[in-house]
Amino acid sequence: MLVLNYFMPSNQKNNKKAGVNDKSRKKNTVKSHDSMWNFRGRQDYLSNSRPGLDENLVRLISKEKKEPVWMLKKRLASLDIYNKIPLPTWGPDLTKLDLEHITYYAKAMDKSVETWDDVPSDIKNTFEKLGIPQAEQEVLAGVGAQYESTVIYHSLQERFREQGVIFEDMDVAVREYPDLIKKYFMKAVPPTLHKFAALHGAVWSGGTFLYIPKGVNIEQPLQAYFRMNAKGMGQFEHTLIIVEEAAQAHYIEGCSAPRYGIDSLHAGGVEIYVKPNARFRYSSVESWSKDAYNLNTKRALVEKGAHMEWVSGNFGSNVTMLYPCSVLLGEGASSDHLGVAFASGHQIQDTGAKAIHLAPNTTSNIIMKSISQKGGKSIYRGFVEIGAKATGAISSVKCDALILDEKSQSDTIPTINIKNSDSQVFHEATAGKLNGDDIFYLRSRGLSEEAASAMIINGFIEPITKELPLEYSVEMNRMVELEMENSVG
Amino acid sequence: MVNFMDNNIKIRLISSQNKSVSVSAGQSVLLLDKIGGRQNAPRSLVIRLAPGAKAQHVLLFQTEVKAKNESGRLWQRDFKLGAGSQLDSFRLFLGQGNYNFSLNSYLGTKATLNARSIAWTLNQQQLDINDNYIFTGPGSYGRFNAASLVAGSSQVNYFSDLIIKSKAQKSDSRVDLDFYPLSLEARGRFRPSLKIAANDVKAGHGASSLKLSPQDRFYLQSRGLSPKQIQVLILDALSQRFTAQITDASLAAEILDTLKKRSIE
Repeated sequence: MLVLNYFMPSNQKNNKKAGVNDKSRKKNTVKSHDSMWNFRGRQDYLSNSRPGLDENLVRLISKEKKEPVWMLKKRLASLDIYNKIPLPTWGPDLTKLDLEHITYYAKAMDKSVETWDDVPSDIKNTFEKLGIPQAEQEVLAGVGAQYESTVIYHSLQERFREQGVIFEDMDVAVREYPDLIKKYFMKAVPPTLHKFAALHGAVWSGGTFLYIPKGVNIEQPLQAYFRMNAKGMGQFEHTLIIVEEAAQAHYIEGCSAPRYGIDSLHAGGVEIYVKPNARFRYSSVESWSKDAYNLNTKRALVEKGAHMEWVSGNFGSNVTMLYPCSVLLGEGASSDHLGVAFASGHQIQDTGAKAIHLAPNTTSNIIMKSISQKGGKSIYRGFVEIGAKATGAISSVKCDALILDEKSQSDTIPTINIKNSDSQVFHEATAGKLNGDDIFYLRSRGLSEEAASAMIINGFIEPITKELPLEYSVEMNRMVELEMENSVG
Repeated sequence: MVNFMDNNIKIRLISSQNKSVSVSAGQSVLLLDKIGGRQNAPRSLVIRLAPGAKAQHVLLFQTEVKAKNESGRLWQRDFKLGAGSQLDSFRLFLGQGNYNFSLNSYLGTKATLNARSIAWTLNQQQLDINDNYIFTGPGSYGRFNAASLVAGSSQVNYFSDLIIKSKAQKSDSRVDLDFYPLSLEARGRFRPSLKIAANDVKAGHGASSLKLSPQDRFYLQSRGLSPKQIQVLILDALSQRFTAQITDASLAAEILDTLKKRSIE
């Protein structure tokens, strides 16, 4: 079975192959867990970049990408909004994020390529360590890979291309599919939404454009991987997905960055348009380094009879603020939000979900699990709105939190806004610690306390991991085990 | 619920002069906190229970606020429960006009608080309630239920924070916010939050917006009940549940009567 190496360092992988025993592997793992985010790669392309943001930089980005005038105008309008909107006054403190010292644009390659052989060896090496080319061969319908601000690799299986599927670098899509892009770009995530949506609108670069024609069903997942490699970088990829009527697909995003000890910033934007009776699943496994601010915005507009699923795992970053949103526009539209967040050490995982019901007989289902340890803080922040026209709407929210030690914290902050009497909303949340009896039982079967705790936590997040492809679910479980190392005693 | 073993409960009417009320151990007292009619308790009040004290508290808010400068002003109640003390608190928000209430309950070591609220709004009324429970001591216990009955084009905004401080290990808490819309134009906004800084606790919250299923409605109508009668039946059940634990029978009857009158307004 293929195991993706999002989180697993190469020496561990080699140990497995060489049949190194558990004890010695554990020794290595403790050391290598700490080095998960330490692989850095070359950064010479940074000589053409600079920290800070102004109009000249926005014009430069647009010029380098050979964008049409309308896109430059959109960027400049977004910059104007960004300069006027203050930082959010709610949620984690963002005042320590030094926006003046972020490098907003850095180009590691001039264009994206379609074979890994054409990728410079040092960059290819990074993605090989992450297991992306191998995964492409074995389980994926298509792959995109972004390094800093630009997409360096994009491919799609020929049989899907023949059916009219477009899976393209977003920079290229702006030039090659201008009508489609102009119609949908930043309509679901407008720059007025909040400060970081405006920032994204001004400096977005790279990302994925996915178009699935009417009735096409892609059984294998498509994947994009985002790597923020240099010190103090910002990454602002834009993902635009259009799933036409009665089409189906599954898209997976992964991301990582090395640790430098100074802030980096990820403020991506994801827009998904799910047309009547279509089904779409968006999965993401976020593992930014623990000095990154992950302030991402994700929204789906779901039309009549269509279904949208969000599956997310948040393990990395210093501060995460991420609340995938489904706007249920058409009668009978539905959404599922499944998420797990793991906050360890100084991490703040402020995650959640939004479901906005605007049409009759719409349904939303939100299941969130969080784990806090070693002083970490996990927050579920959710919003469910039942609009005046959403008669017969049903929404169910379930949040469970595990707090593993006395230093850690967990908040659950759901807001429910109901504007009609013919709807049903249920919210349920619990918080607690690991059950001592369960740990005692597993220890009596020969497991260490650490292994027993990890096993119970993996059971706790199983409703989310079971929705991922097997390889990703194995990886998420492994991530929990790595986080649990040295957590006991 | 508080068990008054001596059955010798005394009603203490809170007057407008009171800034704070204290209940000492060994007393069995029902604090009547009545706002409206001829009686007006103060806008801001602190209720303290000494260690080991037991009490019931009934807040009846029935004021008609017509003057514009009164509308939307803040009313506040703080409850401070000493170690091992027990309090049952019943809050009934009726009245007319717009109100803004702030309720803060602090639970010390092994303190117990059961709180039950009904907020019933009419016409274009807007009611804002911040109802927070702060667990400061270990072994404390709380159950909190708030039902919002919203008629006409009125709106209830009910925010409730359950805050478990790091010293409140082994505390057990739960808050439930229920929304009963009584008209198509009824509006509700709810936020039942958990903020937990201790790991060995039981904490939960729930929020629900309820309507009868088509099957239930069909069954009741097939037994000859009109939609209005069905609504009255549900409201009656809620009222009975609210008053069931009030130890003074005449006060419970008075509240039931008030709720019945509200249902035909």
